[in-house]
Amino acid sequence: MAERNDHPLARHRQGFAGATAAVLALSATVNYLQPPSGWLRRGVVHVAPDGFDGFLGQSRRLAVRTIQRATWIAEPGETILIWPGIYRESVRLKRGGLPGRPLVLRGAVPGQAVISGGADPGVMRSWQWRPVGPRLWSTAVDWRVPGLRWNGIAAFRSRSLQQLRSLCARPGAWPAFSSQEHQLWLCLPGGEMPRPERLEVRRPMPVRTRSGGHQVASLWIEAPYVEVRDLRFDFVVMAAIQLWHADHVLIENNHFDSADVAINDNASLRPPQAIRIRHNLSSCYPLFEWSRYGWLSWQELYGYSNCSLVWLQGQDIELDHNIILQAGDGIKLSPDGGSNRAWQNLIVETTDDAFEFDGAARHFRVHNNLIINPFVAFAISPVSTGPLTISDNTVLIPPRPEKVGYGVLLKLMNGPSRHVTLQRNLYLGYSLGNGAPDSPLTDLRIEANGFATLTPRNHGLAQADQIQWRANRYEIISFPRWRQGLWDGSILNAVGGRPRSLGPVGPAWMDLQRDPAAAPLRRYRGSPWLIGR
Amino acid sequence: MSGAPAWGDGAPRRSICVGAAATAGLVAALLVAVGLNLLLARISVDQPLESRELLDWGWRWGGALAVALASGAGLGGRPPAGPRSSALVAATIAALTVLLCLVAMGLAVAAVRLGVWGQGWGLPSRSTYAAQIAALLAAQWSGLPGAALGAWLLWRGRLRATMPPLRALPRCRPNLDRLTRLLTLVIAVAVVLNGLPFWARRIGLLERQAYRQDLARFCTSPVQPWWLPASCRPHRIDTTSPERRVWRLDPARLYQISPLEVGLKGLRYGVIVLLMIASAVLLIARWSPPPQTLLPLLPLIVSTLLSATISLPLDGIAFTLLSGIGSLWIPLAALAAWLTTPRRLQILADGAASLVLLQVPFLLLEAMRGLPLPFGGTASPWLPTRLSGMVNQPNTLGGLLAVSVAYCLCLSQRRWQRWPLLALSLLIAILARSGGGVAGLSLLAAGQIFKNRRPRPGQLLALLLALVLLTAALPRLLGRPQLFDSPAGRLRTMRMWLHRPHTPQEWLLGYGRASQISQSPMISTAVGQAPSAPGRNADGMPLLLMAQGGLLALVAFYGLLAWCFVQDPPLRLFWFVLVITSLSLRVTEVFPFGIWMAVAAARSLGLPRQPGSRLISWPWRFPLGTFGARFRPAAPRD
Repeated sequence: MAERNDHPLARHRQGFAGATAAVLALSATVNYLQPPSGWLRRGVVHVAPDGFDGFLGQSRRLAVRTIQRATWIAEPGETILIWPGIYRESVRLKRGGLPGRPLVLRGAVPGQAVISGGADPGVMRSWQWRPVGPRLWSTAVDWRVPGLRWNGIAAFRSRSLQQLRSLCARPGAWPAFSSQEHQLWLCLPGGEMPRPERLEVRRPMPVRTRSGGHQVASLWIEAPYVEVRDLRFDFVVMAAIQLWHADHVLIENNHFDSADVAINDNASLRPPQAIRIRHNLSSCYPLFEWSRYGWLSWQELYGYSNCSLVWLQGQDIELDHNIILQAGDGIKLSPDGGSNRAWQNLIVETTDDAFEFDGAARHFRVHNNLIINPFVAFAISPVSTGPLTISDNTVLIPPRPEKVGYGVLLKLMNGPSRHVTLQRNLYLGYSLGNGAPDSPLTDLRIEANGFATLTPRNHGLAQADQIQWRANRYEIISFPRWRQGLWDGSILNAVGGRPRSLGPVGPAWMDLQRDPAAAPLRRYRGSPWLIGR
Repeated sequence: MSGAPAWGDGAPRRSICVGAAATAGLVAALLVAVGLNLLLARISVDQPLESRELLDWGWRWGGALAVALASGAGLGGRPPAGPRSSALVAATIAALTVLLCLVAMGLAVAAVRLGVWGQGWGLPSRSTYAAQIAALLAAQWSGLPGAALGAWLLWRGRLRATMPPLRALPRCRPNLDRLTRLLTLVIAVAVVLNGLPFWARRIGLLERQAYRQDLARFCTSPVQPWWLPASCRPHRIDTTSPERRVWRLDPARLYQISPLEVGLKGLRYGVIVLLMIASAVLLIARWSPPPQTLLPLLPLIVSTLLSATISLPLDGIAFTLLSGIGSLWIPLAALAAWLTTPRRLQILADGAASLVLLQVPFLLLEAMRGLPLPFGGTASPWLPTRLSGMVNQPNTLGGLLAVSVAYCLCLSQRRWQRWPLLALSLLIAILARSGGGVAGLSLLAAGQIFKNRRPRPGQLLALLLALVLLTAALPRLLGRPQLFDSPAGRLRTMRMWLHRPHTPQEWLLGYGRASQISQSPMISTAVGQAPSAPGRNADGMPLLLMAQGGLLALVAFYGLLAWCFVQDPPLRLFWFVLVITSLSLRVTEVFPFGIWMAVAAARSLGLPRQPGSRLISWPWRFPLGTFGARFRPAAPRD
């Protein structure tokens, strides 16, 4: 046997096999350990829909295919450059940047890289539609469909087939659907037949977790020092961005469409810190349209969707120059520390609160925002700590159908609130606020504001006596003047109002005159209050 | 069979066993990944599990486990471990991994319950989150140890196995001597075809009209009885024009390359590729012995791969591949051991000598009819204009002569391939007015004189004196007063490069394969300019290596040459001249230097280790030795 082993050919063969095994073992080990590859790039990880995840993303030609893969290989200081295309994935970002060297996720062409919650269009080709009533269709599906679009516009999600039939029969109906396990019903009021090329559906949603939060996100950030820029988050399943354990995050120039909450930290590992959210646009069109002419009542819409830009607690949070169109609650923010600001945001048409504060709201300034047609402009429900300062905002609420209900400036409910100040705000609307006697107020000051309302000051405010009123200007206006108030600047001029410029709001790359995402804004073109962009 | 293997299934075919072990490893890893994914998805209540992360881990671990189990099952001379053994080991490793994850999850839950972990988390259920994190970490950290354990278990089970009889060697063997002769013939044809278009243009066989115009413009007497020495200049001052315009010969016309010519020039690389394929086939079929060691080549392989990796995104795949043709000799060195028998080395040396001889008729025609090349300044009253033969550049011709003669001096047993060939080459180099060629050949002559004896001090002094005198006289001898501008220009380029700002990574790894090659006419014609090619053309290996692969490439290349120099004393003259030539020539890109270097390196790689080579190879021996590589003494080759 020894002779066999010593045979030169046996030895050569073994040597060759050994070398091959050594090379393979080295490759497998390197592949397993995934060593840093940043030194092979020039600071950019390219992602493209036609890429390949085996690449390292050094260039457009060697781009990786998924953003998730890019987040695995990107290193602090690198930019994940996302080329135009639709990315149907949920990204989990576990490695961020360092102080001064943030990890940047950026669209290569602003606004043309889309992270979509939509299912692959191929799944709809096998659906067999059959009519189940007037303008009503049904098909078998593989999962409970959480969202649907017809001709690019979100359809109303009905709770049951019975409600769907009822809604579909109403005048002025919009496309609506209802889904259960393995079944989907679709109402097309225009009388069309369902076609796969006109349909989009959301991906299956995981079972709701025990904590009940939005634990599904297009981009899940559990890392510090991250910047997200120039992206579109389209047809989001639940949250567009979930801040799980994140700090020093900049979210800028993005468009969020149909997100339940665009930027969320509900039930996260740790409250976020140093978060800056600026120049984004969040839209839930046609959420508000469903009620504009009375197709749906306020009650039917109230529990439908949050459609918020942010739900955050945390510390050192800044929101500025964002546009929120057709939301449920526009901004839900109750910081519990640091210094916090929300300024120069434009909020247009909310079915519930434009700003909702339901927590500490510590050291929080809300100023210079323009709020048009909210159901409630500022919901203090409640502010447990403060100080919260709401100043220099303009709130314009035109009449709505009675079935929907008139909007108000303030909501003072759900518990005791303290240390809140409203200063130098301008308000046009039906009444000043709603308040419940079980929500006592401590140190709530309303100073130097200008109000033009149909009703007297204390109308609807059960705690009016607990408020410290000082130097406010009031004008009781008639219904026709109220209707004109949005277009006639003189009405608020009477209470000291002057149109204030917001500056450039929304994503810098977005043409607000032409982009379909900004369509609800165009209704207010010509209003003297909407100056800036 | 004495003593059955512990995991014994007898001794089936090795390839089947290796494949089965790899499959078992991959399947086990994926099953563990899927199982963990299902388990964690079920318990996770706060943070939905990212299933892709675990599946990606499963694939990566599967790769590592597959390689480990395949190695443990099939490596070495003992009977391989059977599929059942591999499956059993894979299942054991999988079970251990799952067990480890479960233990980690339990510990994590206990830590949370005891209040030592996760108290600051704002979650309703911290325990499940902690369990999830712990399971993921345990899976990731146990991956490689698990793979190693699997390999060891399989290996251990084979320790008492017996060796099956080797298959008899096939009786039919190709005639490798004849193949070597064919190779030398093909090399000669490729060399001629490489330079033919340029040569034909230069002597007017191609583009006759333009040739006549140039001849009339730059030569005072268009037709010379002997050659075109003093009467031709590469530039002419038009004294009749008031501005005294200077006309210059356009070398671009001579060096232009049509697509057909690209094909002709590409033949030489085709020869190398075909030789590589043939050598690989011979190696696989066991008609060629493998090298004793590949370690000296390893740094160069790594450096080449790294620079190609850097190049790929910057310059594209076409440019990167084409720029890699200068590195084809590296894999060839690992494969070409079949060419290193004395008889075949003699055939190759004959081929090298024939290349020198082959130049003579072309050079004579070129001397008589060639347009003056704009390299090297003034013409000499007694020498023709600079000649380039079939290699397009006079300096390249000089390098070719020096390296060819060195190859013959080291490997040939024929007398005429020593002093007569050396003298002829020196004459050609002088006619080509190649300073590098003359210097290299002079060094060769000195080396040949003292090949088998130590020079006495007086002789050494005389030799040094002769070299100094030759160096001083060379500009006058070659009719090139500015001869030393050529090395000075190269030094200047090097200095400019060194003064450019480079990042540490660029110092270490360079700018990629495509850098500094933008002026390579063939590549530029084939795929256009390299997008990232910075600066000037590199006229020597040091700058080229620094630009393409950084310090790593420089050390790897010259380290290999130094190792070969020490390892193979009979070839020292060849390696020495090659190093000298490489200072002014990109030797890896000159055909057929690559083949000669590969064969010479293959010879060195196949020789028993010399004491000095250990010293030179320690930089890579040490780290690899740490990981268990064995450096055994080589057996004598047949």
